[in-house]
Amino acid sequence: MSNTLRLEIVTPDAVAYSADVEMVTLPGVAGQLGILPRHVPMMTQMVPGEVIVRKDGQDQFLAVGEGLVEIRGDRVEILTDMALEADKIDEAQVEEARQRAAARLQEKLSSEEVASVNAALARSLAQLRVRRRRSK
Amino acid sequence: MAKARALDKRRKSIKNIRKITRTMELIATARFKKAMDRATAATAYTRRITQLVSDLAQAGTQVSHPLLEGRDNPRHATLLMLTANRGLCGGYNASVIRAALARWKQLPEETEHQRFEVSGKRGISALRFRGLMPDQKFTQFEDEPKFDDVARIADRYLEEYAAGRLDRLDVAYTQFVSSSKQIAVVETLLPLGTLEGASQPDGKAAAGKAAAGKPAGGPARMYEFLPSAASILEEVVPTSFRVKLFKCFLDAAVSEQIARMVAMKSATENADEMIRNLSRTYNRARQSQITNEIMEIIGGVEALKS
Repeated sequence: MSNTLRLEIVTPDAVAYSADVEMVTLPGVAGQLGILPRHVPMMTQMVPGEVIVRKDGQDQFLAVGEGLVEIRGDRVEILTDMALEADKIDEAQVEEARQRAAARLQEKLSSEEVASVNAALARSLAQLRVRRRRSK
Repeated sequence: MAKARALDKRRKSIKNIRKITRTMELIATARFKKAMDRATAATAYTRRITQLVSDLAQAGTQVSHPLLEGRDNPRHATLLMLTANRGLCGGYNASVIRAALARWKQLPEETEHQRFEVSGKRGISALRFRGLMPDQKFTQFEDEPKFDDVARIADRYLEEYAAGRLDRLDVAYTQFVSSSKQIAVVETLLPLGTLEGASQPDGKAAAGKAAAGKPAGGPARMYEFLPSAASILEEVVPTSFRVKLFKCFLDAAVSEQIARMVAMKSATENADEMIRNLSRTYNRARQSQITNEIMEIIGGVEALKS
């Protein structure tokens, strides 16, 4: 039996991550989920946050957006609208985006806009959190 | 002399036009490659969604969702037409517009209210020419449409559909079949109908499966759902709609670049041929002029001799 998981993180723009890893921790709707090889098949939803990938004993961090996760024995597929590795996040730019989103929430918006701004805000926050915590 | 000089002038201007068309051809080729890469990257996502749906269905989940089922008497229809912002791409815009207008004429028979939404300056001006006013215009989509931009439009449709302000959405765009074949089609995106991979795998779903390297019709796998299968379905369906719409935009972008590439290639070839013909005529005119001059000189000498 193999001791690794095949992890694939796919966004509409690209396959953001694809490798054999030892463990994946992801932000599920009901809290953090740690997934090891030979996990029971599962489908779940994911909220914006941080995915921790353990590969060759080293942890890697990615900021992700909302998405769906499918786990099938030795495969983990994450379908999300955003996936960024911690060191590829441009903090200043994200901070600006966050402030812009926060400022827009103060304005009068239709419910549809509020939802999209909230989603943008959650995405920037996830990126910032990952960036601040993980980069030296 | 006058004739030869005029010919030379024409030849020069054609040479300049040829330079332009040749450059445009090269640019279109480069853009086509980029657009193609993006489209390929997006298929990975589409395929996974299809896979997810078929796994969901295999696990015994009832795949039903308001977006999948049509309404009994559709009242509000929207037609979205995807054209280019620029011309000089052969019949690309014309064929999409033709397909869209044919559907536009049909819609009043089936629905009460229609909205016409257009992306691309070419489509907008074509409608204006026909005296139609588009209800919504987009010009921000260039050769690489962003998923976020498309998702925003998709979300608006989803909201309208949920609120009952939209019962049917048709999209007229150029479908990319292969790099030598693109066809203008009108597709009904809402209601979604059956999701690919949901029930009996139709041709497309089967192809997707084969590409993903999964044996079709394997034993039903038991899945655990968190929080529940229904809530996952709740998210899968809108997502697959967004992705479908995004795919339309990508296809349109790729097809546009191909159309432009082909159009510019034939323009360059035509220019080449014209230059060849003109050169021939020019040389002939110049030669006959020289002959004339020599004849005149000889005539003059002969006259002096006698």
